[in-house]
Amino acid sequence: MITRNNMPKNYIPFNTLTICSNTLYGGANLVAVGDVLPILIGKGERPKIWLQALADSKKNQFVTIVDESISKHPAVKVYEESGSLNVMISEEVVLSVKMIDQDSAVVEKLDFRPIGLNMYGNSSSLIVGGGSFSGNSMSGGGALIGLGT
Amino acid sequence: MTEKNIHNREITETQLVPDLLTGTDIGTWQAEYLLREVEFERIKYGKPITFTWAVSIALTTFGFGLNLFAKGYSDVASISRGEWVALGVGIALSVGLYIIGLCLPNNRKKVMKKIEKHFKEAPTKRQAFKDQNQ
Repeated sequence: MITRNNMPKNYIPFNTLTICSNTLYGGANLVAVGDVLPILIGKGERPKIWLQALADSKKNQFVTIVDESISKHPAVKVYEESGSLNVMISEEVVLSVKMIDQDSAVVEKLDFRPIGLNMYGNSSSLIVGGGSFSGNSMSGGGALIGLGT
Repeated sequence: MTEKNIHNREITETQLVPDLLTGTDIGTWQAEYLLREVEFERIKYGKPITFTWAVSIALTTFGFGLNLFAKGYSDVASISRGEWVALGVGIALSVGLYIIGLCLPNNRKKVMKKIEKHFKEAPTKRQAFKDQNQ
């Protein structure tokens, strides 16, 4: 599992990553479930995506379904279209990342409900649980959203 | 569901969302084999009867053979020719009946092969499913 203490070797965060209108600076993460980071988007020749799906919601166990933009399962497709790198699960796009330059990228579409996280959004806002996040910013190595009690 | 709306702010600490998990897990799934009653009956009774006879005679012959072993342990000559013939006939009968069983139609084997083929060919796939307890 990818956690705060077990990051992939090839992961280098974008300096600016805008996800559904919320901007993360300097390697801040979008979401953390305990120590687990279900999504990482790093820089490279094209964006490098790591995506984990919830395998057991009772034990908070995750399974890697995309590893450095390579699908780890036949039901998951990673493909490039119109300059965006998309992740598709069972014919539904769950993530669409567009690289702006070498140090910034934008997530224009996100829907993590098929992988067990109650979050989805588009270029204008991010819906998490019953609330919404838009136009916010966060800096540093923390996570914008976490699993509350 | 908790509502937390945050807009146009500079966030410095993690925003905790209690209902972040949907309760949907990714599980491994494989198509089940639909066992019909007739197939169950074939598994239970579908073996040719000659196999049962072969096993019964083989066990009896084995017991008889142990007796002969005990009898001839110190003096092989004490075993009569008739006893050797009886042992040989027992072995020949059980082997013969087993071979006949192999040639007869075996419905149990057919069903077992069909089930084996099903599980070999039915693809396993991960799929999301909602926890029934939630």
